[in-house]
Amino acid sequence: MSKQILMPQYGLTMEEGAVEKWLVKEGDVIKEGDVIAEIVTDKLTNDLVSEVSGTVLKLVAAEGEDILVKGVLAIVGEPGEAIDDAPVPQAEAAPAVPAPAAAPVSQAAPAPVMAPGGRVKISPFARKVAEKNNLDYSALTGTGPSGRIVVKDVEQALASGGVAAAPVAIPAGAAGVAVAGDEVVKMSKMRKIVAERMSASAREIPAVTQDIKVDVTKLMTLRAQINEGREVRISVNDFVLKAVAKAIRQHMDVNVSMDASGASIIRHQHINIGMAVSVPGGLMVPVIRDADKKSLETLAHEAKDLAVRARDSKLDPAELQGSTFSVSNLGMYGITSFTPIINQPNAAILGVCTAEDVVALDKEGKLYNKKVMTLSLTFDHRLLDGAEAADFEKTLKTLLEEPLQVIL
Amino acid sequence: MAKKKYEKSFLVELYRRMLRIRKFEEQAKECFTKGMLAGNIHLAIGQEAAEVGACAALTDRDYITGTHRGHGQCIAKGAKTDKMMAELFGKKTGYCQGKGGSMHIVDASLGILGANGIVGAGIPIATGAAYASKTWGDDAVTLCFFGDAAANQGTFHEAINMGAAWDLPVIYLCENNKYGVSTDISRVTNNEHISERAAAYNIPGVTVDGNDVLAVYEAVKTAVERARRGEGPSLVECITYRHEGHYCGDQAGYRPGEYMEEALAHEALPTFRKYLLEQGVKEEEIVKVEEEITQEIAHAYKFADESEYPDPSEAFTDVYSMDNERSVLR
Amino acid sequence: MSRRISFSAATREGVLEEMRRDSNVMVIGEDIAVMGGTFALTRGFLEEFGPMRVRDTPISESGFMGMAVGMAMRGMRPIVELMYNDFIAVSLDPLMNQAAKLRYMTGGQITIPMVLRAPMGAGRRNAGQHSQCLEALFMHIPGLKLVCPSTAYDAKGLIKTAIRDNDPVVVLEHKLLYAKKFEMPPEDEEYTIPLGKADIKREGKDITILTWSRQVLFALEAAETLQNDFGISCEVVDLRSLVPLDWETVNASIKKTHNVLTLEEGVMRAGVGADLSAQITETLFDELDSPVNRVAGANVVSPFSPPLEDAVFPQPQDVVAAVRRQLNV
Repeated sequence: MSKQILMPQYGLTMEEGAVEKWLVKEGDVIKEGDVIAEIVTDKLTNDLVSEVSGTVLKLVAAEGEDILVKGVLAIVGEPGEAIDDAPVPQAEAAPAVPAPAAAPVSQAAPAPVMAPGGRVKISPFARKVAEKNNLDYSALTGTGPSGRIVVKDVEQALASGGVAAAPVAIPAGAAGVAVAGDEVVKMSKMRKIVAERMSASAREIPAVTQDIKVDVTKLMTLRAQINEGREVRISVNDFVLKAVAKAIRQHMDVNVSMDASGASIIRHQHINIGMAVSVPGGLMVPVIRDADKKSLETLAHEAKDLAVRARDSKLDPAELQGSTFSVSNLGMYGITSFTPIINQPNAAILGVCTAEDVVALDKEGKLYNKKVMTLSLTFDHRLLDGAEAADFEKTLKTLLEEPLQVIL
Repeated sequence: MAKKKYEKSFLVELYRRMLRIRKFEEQAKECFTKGMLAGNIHLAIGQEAAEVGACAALTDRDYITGTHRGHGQCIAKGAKTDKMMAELFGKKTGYCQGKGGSMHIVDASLGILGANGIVGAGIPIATGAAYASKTWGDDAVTLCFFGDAAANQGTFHEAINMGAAWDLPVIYLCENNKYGVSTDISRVTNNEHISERAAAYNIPGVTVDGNDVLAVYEAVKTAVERARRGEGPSLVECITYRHEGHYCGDQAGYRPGEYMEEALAHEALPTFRKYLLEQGVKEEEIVKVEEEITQEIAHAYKFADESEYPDPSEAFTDVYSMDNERSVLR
Repeated sequence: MSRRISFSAATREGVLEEMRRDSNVMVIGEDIAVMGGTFALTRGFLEEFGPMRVRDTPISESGFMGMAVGMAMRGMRPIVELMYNDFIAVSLDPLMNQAAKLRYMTGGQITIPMVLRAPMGAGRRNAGQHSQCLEALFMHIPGLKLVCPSTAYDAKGLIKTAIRDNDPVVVLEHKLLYAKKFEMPPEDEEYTIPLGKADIKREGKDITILTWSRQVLFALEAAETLQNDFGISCEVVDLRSLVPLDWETVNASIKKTHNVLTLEEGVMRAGVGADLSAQITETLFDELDSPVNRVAGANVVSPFSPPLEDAVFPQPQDVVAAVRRQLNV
């Protein structure tokens, strides 16, 4: 039976796109994974990768013709086969997916951590049981009607200790061995992605972490004043995000990525801050775009909204893409120092620690109490040097110690 | 007017009831025109004598069923004008707590088994109520109001046939105002009088001047006595006039001008007022009645206007005798 | 001493007991008094209770249905018998616009304690005007209750409750159940069955079959085959009363089996199964291991000729096939 290749949706806001150029013609034999066209939207150009194999029976979309998302672009099947070009429901179609950005441009940085998964046919109840047991059901074989995964398949997978894990490179000798009484739990899809990304970052980047202590006494006082009577409270993290955005604007050399060739540095114009959010079973890094252009209040609101939706798995894939710098905050857990791992392709990540009470001497030699917070900046030494990073940290410290500067 | 002599107090009471209907309807019309009422109302202006005359022949233990043009029928049987007006307003103090409206006034304690929004539906219901009386031997009769148009519904024939076959204590009272909505009865019916159809069921049938309250009273009284004796139903046809259109706001352009000329020439209220004076009722007494009715209707309006609407939660009660989640929501 | 009696004999017992218990109970309908009913359900009643309480009517369904409403308004408890449920087409106004609505429209002033009994169903080669199952039609009318028993025991217990109920209750009895015999408790052992209480006729763990009336027997037959030949364990839930619906039992069964099939003889389009399916999907989506499937009559007029009629309403083998498709066995 013929299969349709549909206009993919690159991001939540995309409504239509056009084939800028077909890379195949009718009669060509293509296979899954082939780049078959270039799709242009109002923002960018993407490669259209076929998810199906077969003969191109018909190119439905003309070059330059605007096609709505999920509109039919081409039909693939057996030579001579009758074709059906009526639109089909999304779930039944064999949609093409965008190729991973081969050459990152500023807007199309790879998604950090959680990529949108393909649709897996699974019954609601089977999914519920799988998720409760942290079982990755995406690789299971369904035995229900039309290959649907039903609860029996999930139960069998659980009984046999889960399905084979996707290959996360485990060096010889590094693997754990379960002994009697241990529980072996299949890694969730998200966990696997986190593992892969962290390994890649740690493996590829010569990372350096530099700590700086910041007096946040004034910031705490100011925050308390601002929050008085407010319904949505401004958090310390919101101040840090705002201060980071401002500091980056003064130190744009922090706002860079290495390109795929390893021979060029991309200097990003937009300051898009990734914000690490702990979610059940893993980590997500939603992005606040143009953070430097947003007021503290807007930023606080957006940060809260992203965090809530990240925990509810309600984020659009586009919201996980395009960060240029990241912030990870463990202050609420009382952490006093840590070495965050860089969220590729960023050049740096800021770890935010807890505000500690410290006894200090004033100018007259009297003891007083102040609040001190450590900021741990991990940076990519290929792209930045210690002095540049230190300058950035110093600006950040100055801003946070005179917090009105953060707001103004 | 009747040859027979009646107590003055009885005559005054008939006048009071007819006036009550007229004033209630005029007030309802005013409220409707001002947009204070939801839905539609059907006014009984012009039909007061038939309704009051018929109910005057009943006792408190007797029953009536009514029609979509039912305000006057209910008032004639004793319904309270304040609770009625509140129901027209859709207020929680109304007879049906705002759940029935103009066409569904019921007061079980007064034997008012209900007006009805379906033309002809009341005829078998009245027959069934009379069946209950016969089963129990309780001596009550049921009077069934219906219009000329309902006489062409199947229920009319089915129910009267059964009422007659089993000698049920029921009076079929047709208020013939000559129009079913816009349709002149003579255009759709081959009988000159609805009462002729009584012969088909072998029961007595009479036609009376429906604007002569005493003529109606006497005809219905005869029918009631026959019913109480266990001799079965009668069909009483009252020729009357509907001054308004089918519903409030209907200009009734489908009717010839002579219809209203005739109606006004036969109007019951002024004629009967004159008759009262002839019978020796004092003018002051009549004026006093008129003032009392004016006050009563003013109170009814105020009561209705000032009453509260039902709480939206009330929409989910009274569907079943034991409202419960399963019945209403599943 | 237990005994075996027919569905119709059990229904008769129920009505008889209630008529003896409450002098306001009466029966009205065509050919029920002198003849004793098409299914001999009221035979002997006229002699015992007299013509006012056992009333033969003319062929005036709308008229006597309306009369029953009037009687009920006055406090009698009429049991109307329609010779076939199909005849509701000529007598619906008194039931739909009067009986069902009067309590509500009068703000609770009036109650209508009436029962409508009517045979329904195909299988007797009665053709299109005498073979329908019209549950969905009655269910769509707020204010009515609807009962569809499948066994003699249930028929008796439910008709007694329906007669005592203060709301209009429609009792639909499948024609092909009347002659079937079932185990019964002794005659002098009185019992009633509440409305809105389903009965699990067979316990199972793989799939829930929601059904009622004659199709309960088909479901049980299919369940036996599915167990023996395919190792599938079916839970057969006899809803017994469709309004009110025993959601608790439905809910608990689905949470146990995670697969549901609805089974009815009436036509599928806008049928009872459609509504059950929607309710289940709306509230129990995460419990479902397969889509809710419906087995129901075809969307056609009930045909006359035996092979045609048998082809359009569900047979036990249709249930077997549907369950196998649903579970991919």
